[in-house]
Amino acid sequence: MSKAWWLPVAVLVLLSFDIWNWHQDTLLLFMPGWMWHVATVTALFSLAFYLVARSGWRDE
Amino acid sequence: MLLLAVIYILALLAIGVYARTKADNTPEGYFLANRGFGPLVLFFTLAATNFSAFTFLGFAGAGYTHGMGQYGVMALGTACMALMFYVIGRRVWQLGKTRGYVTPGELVGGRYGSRGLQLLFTGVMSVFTIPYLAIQAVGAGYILQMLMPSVSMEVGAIAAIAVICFYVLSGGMRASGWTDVVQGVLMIAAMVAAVAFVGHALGGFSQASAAARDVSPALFSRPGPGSYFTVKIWLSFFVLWVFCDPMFPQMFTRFYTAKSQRSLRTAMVLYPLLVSFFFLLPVLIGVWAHGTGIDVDTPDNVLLLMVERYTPPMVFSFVSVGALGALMSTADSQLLSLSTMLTADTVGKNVRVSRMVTVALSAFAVVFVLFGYDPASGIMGTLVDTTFSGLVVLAPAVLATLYWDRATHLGCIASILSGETLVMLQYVVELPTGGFLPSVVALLFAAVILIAVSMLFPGENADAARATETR
Repeated sequence: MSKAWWLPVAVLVLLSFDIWNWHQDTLLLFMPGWMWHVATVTALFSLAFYLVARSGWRDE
Repeated sequence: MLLLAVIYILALLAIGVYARTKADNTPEGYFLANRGFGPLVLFFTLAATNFSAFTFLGFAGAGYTHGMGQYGVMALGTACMALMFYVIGRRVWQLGKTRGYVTPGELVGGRYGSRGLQLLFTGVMSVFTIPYLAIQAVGAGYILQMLMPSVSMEVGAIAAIAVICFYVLSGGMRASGWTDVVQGVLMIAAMVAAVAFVGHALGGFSQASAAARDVSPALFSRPGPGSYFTVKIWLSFFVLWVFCDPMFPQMFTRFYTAKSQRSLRTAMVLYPLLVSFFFLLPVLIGVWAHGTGIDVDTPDNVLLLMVERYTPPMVFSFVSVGALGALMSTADSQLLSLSTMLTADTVGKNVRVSRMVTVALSAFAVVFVLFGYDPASGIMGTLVDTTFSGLVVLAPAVLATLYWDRATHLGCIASILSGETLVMLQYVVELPTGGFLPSVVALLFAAVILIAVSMLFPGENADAARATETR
């Protein structure tokens, strides 16, 4: 499979460790800003896996 | 209150009976639903099986204790774990289809032609799963008791076990998968209802969060109260869920049930999306509890306490049944995967014997309940406390079996035995872990041992080429 499709997955894994947000507690609506980041990264794994499934995962 | 629970239980029984009419009595039919789960059934059964009462009630309790960070440590690793549907699931599915495997032990032992490794792998998986099955029964008893106070915990637990046992015996994997769809939808709907109603009662989501933040600002940042969520712990949980979740026998076995690789692909794509919002909901309720002044004696009860206080009785019943669904969907999958392994890996793929094992495991759970065994004590307590560590140690053996031609059965056996020994040592003696979770250290240790022993004692590995032929 094309290795290029693993890049978004790798980026999201790195973004999962948002050490720059540690100790931050400012509320944005009902959650702190860093939780929006976590929720977005979590949901984006779906998009990254969609790319893997579409372009890299062939039936064998 | 009672009506919803009765409807729910009757629906499960009806699905069990219907699944029996559709099933044949062949081993593949009973153990794996003829490897015929389409994308949506596979997605829901993987989700409902993995999301247990721990997700539904435990996350709220941990959110109450540790704050919002609980969402991150659970959601990120679990979402990324879905990639294992490709890394592990795809190859397990291929090998299962071509070689007729129905258990994890058959696959790992089969690669090396090692009966000893097969039995060891199955033994470890079973030892760490049986106590969990028994504890699910106790949990079901408590939830039913909350719904129907006149019914004792013991009677509720036995009723739940009887229902699960009935539909597993009736329809095997087909019944387990189909009930998982119903229970998965119910679980998600119940959690959404819980947050919507509680949030509304507290003056809106923002108001609820602001009130909790006024009481304890630490809940809203990392490392959180008690400074639990360090970066190392964050990393540890990420690694733990990625490698541990596929090692649950009830998850691993489901890889065999996919109708096609399309089913696995769809599940992989949808899984993180569900995790991103579903895991958030119980944590919000747990944190919001701080702003209400509600008296919480046991953190794991906080979700149902909040729902009972801030929503109409009908919503409380619905959420309780949702919690029951989360618990029972995991328990039925554990029961079936255990009985499948304990039969197919010992005496062969015999449906009749497997049904007898299912009854025996259910009877064990009943005895566990009736004798009021304290889940937190003794050997069982130790196993429950070390379940995640005990199972994650199996991951190097599985990955090496699927991907590394030079892996040997001795390497796998040494990896599993030494890893489990370290897990038990870590439990009784405080060993240095450098700030990481002990389970991650055990995982790394097991991987190093596997590589070292396989390289030092290469031996013969005649099956390697055949095992990797489907790559």
